Order: sequence, then structure tokens, then C-alpha cells
Amino acid sequence: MIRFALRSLVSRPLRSFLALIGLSISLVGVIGLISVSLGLRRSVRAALEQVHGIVVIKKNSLDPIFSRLPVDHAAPISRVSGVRHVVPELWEVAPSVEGQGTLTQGLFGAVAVFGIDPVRDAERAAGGLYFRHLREGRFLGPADAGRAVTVVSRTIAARFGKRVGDPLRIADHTFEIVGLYETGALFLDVAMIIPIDMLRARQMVRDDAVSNFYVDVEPNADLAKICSGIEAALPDVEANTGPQWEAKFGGILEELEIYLRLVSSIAILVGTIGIVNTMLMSVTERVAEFGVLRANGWTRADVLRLVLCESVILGAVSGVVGCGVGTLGVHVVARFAALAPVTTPSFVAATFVLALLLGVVGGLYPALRAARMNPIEAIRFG
Amino acid sequence: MIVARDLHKTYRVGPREVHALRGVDIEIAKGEICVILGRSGSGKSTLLHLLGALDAPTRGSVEVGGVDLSRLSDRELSLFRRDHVGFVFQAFNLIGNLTALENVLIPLMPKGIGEREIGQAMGRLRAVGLGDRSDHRPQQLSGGEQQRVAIARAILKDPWVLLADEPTGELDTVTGGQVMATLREMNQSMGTTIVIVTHDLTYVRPGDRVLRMEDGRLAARTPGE
Repeated sequence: MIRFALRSLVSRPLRSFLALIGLSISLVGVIGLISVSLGLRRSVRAALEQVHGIVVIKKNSLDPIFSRLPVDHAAPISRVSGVRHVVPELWEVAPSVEGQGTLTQGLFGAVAVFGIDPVRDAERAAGGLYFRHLREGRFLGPADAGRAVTVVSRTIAARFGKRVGDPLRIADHTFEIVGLYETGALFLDVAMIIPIDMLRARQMVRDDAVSNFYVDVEPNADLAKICSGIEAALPDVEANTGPQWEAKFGGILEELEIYLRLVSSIAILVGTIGIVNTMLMSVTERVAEFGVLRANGWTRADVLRLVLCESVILGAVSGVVGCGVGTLGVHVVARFAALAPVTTPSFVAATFVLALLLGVVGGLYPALRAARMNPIEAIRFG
Repeated sequence: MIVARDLHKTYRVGPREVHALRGVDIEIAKGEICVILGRSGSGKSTLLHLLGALDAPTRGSVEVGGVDLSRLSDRELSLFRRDHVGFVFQAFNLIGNLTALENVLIPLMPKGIGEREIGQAMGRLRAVGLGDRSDHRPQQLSGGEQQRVAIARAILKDPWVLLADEPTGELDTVTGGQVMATLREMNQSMGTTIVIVTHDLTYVRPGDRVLRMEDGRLAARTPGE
């Protein structure tokens, strides 16, 4: 029966090809869209995995960049049991770098300016994250207080064609690049680190304001307890660990994923309608053929199985083509795009199974129509 | 072999009712060749379809080989046709994207095809003189050859009865004669009961049972009936 089904599909090559292409493109879309979502999640996780301490920000601020806290909040935070160091940090979005507006470069073109105290906190800012990932040159040190120097990511340096020792214009001010870092996480390799007093002076930020506090804790400390203690001491803040940040962003990502799934579902619906249309046309053209099959002892279930077999074959081939092209596309895009989409074998396998199911769903109504035909009326109709 | 009692068949065509059969009684013995003559619209094809379980009567009963067809479900009727009834149609009704051998194997495809079934089908093709054309598609066969493939398909399972609806309708006289000869050969060699619907008297031979249909009723029979 499989050979019979294949022959039927091959005997109408253009129609079968068009149905196949329709569903394949839908599946490529599914893989592309969902892999973007998976890539985003992976990038967020890669960034937040490296946050080992606690980040204290203004309550209901999504990110330190949108938060402002009084600098004297450091004292009550440091009194919470288990807290080892409290590091004030200041973040701003760089309006332009080398004359180019950063936000106009797209979502992943934004660049943040990170102000730290080079005297006290060079190794502790952001949990020492940037310090540990220095790759060239040097990090900020005590001698850099009040100086126009910066440590930037390799990504930023490459984007503007800069190296250690080159000048870098941030808004209307020029800084000397003294070091390059690289964490490998998309959402971390966006910072230009400068002395906090330079940031305050240039951005006209009040001396008693910071974006957030990075809290370094004692070994084996109970992070949840420390977070509760900080929030109890300062009702206008929220204290989050890395996993808690991931959960917060997860909520935002979930909304994005809902939209992506909605778009994917529409694509799938269109592809499935293509299958239904192809199979309906095929069944309508072969009415007499089905009558002959029934006259020769095929039951309704046999006819149903034949038509479903054809549509499942369409689904299977579409699955192979769609998953293959989609996966290849993801790998190609990942080499060039800022946000690397991600596929996993289980996701691709699930998409293939979806293709088979869509073959069944798309062929079901046409199969039932074919199976219900009265044999002699079908032969006469043909 | 075939017993039909008080067969009625009524079709609805729009608001009208068409009485295709108006009370037909018929008995056909095992191994008989029965020819049903009649003009177009006389009900002869309708009668054939009822005898072969392709359609159900509005009233009346049909027994084939002692089996009351009215007691069978749709699935059972399909399997009955597969195992005990062979059909040959005027338009051959071969499937164009299958070879001659595959067309013959159609009744067995749902159960799966093995070497045994292929051997059986090749035997039938050889019996109708087409053993060397098994891999030809219908488009590569003449009309007479196509009809012989249809006959091979109809006799694949050694049916109790072979029903032929105008089997020579689309053939020239010579080819039609060859097809009829093939049918008679099947009757002689396998003892298959054959019922042929035709409007062409030239294919009737002595010894054939002849029935004539007029306006949905049996009109005339051979001497002695």
C-alpha cells in the first residue's frame, strides 16, 4: 500500500511538490522562530549564571540601568548577616559611541557604560565578573580614579575597530582603552567600564545616587535569607540572585515565546491547509479509482489508510526537508548574528513528529470523504 | 449460486424517483453463463450491481453462494466482493499509475503482497495471454489487453461469480470477440459462474442462458425457462 501511495503522489509531481514546499516552509519558520527563543534563553542564562552574588536594585526596576538608589543604602545592606562586601555600581546607556547612536544599531547594538570605583572595587564590581574575564591590557586600578580610561569588551572594540591604547569616544567625551575583556555572554559583552566619578561628572548624576549594589556574600551563606534580610531592611529595594534574575527575565521571555508560538502556529496552519487542499483535489480526481478499489474488495478502512498513507508521506518528506533546511539555516545564522539561535536534537525531532501529525490531520478529512463513497456511484462519477 | 427475489431499486434524482428495478426474480446456477440483454436504461446494470453486492436493493433479497447479502455489514460486503465476486467494467477501470501486475494485485493489496500473491497474479495474467506484459502500464496496452488485465484481476481470487458490465462496449468487434472468448475460457477452465450484461446479441452462444430486461423487469427467457 505504501508503494501505491507513493505512486499516487509521484504521478502528480507538481501538486505534491507544492504541498510539500508549503509545509516545509512552515516547519522552517517554526524551527527558526523557536530557535531564536531558545537562543535568547541560552544567552540570558549564560549571562546570569555568572552572577554569583546578589544584585540589589530599586523595587520594580527591570534592570540596574533603570534603577536609582541612594548611595547610603550600602550601610544597612552591609549589616545584614552573611554579607561580605557591598559594591555600589552605576549604569547608563551610552547615547553614542564614536559618533554612532548605539540604540539605533538595533536591540543588540546597545552599549552600556558601567561606572565602578577603581580604588576600592575594581576586582569586586559585578562579582569580579569583568575582572576575571580580562583578555588584553589591564583592568582599572587605583591610579585611574578621575582619569578618562575604559575597559571594553572585545565585541565593542571589534565593532569600532579599536585596540588597547586607542581612543574611544563615548558621547562627547574621549576615553583611552586600557583593557579588553570577553565573557562570551551576549548580554554581558555590552559594557564599557569607566571610573564612577567620570561617569557621574559626564552624565550629571548626583553623587549620592547609584544604579544598584552588588552584594558579595560569605561562603556557604543562605542567599535567600540574605535577600529577605536586605528587603526587610530597605523596603524600596528588591534583592535578586542570578537564578531569580533568570526567573524574572523568564517571565518576559515567556511573553515573547507566546507571540513566537502564535506566529509559528499560523505558519503551521497555512502549511496544513496546503496538505488538506492537495489531498482533497487528489481524492476528487480519483473518485472512480476509489470506486474500483471498493468494487475489488477494499473496505472503507483500507481506502482511509491509503489516503492517510499519502498524506503522512507528504508530512514525513516535508518534515525531513523543513527540519533539515531549518537546522542548517540556524547554524548559518548563528555564525553571523549577534543573537545566536539554538536548536537541540530533541526539538528537531519533536518538529519532525509534528510534521507527521500534520500529515495525518491534513489527510483525515479527504480520507474520510474517499472512504465514504458508494462504490458504484464513484465509478459512475468517474 | 445466485438467487434474487423480488428485487426493487429506486433512485431519487432531484424531486423525481426513478424505478430502476420493479420486482426481479432470478436464479443462476453454478457454472452457468448468463447473458442479460436490454436497451440502455432497462435496469440491467443495476441488476448486475445488486447481484455483486456493489449496491443494496430498496426491497428484495440477494443470495450468492447461499450467503444473504442483506445480512452483511459494509465491511463484510467488501470482503465478500474481494473473495467471491469479480467485476469487469465497460471502461476497464484500471489504475493508470500501476503496472498490469499491480492492477491484478489490487484485491490483495490491503493484506500485503508477498511472493505467493505475485505468483498467483502472474498466473492469472498468463491465463489471459498477457504474461509478458506484466510490467506495462495501462497506457501501454491496447483496449483489448486492458480488458484482459481487468479479467485477470476479477479472477485473481477464484471468485464464485464474475460479473461483466458491457465488457466489449469500448472495443471493436474482433477485440470484443477475443475478450468474450477469454471469459468463456474462464468459465470452462475454472467453472466460474459468469453474468454478462450487454446490448449486443452477436456475443450470445448456444447454451448461454439469456435474460432480457425491459423497464426494470425481466421480459423474456431462453426456451424452457
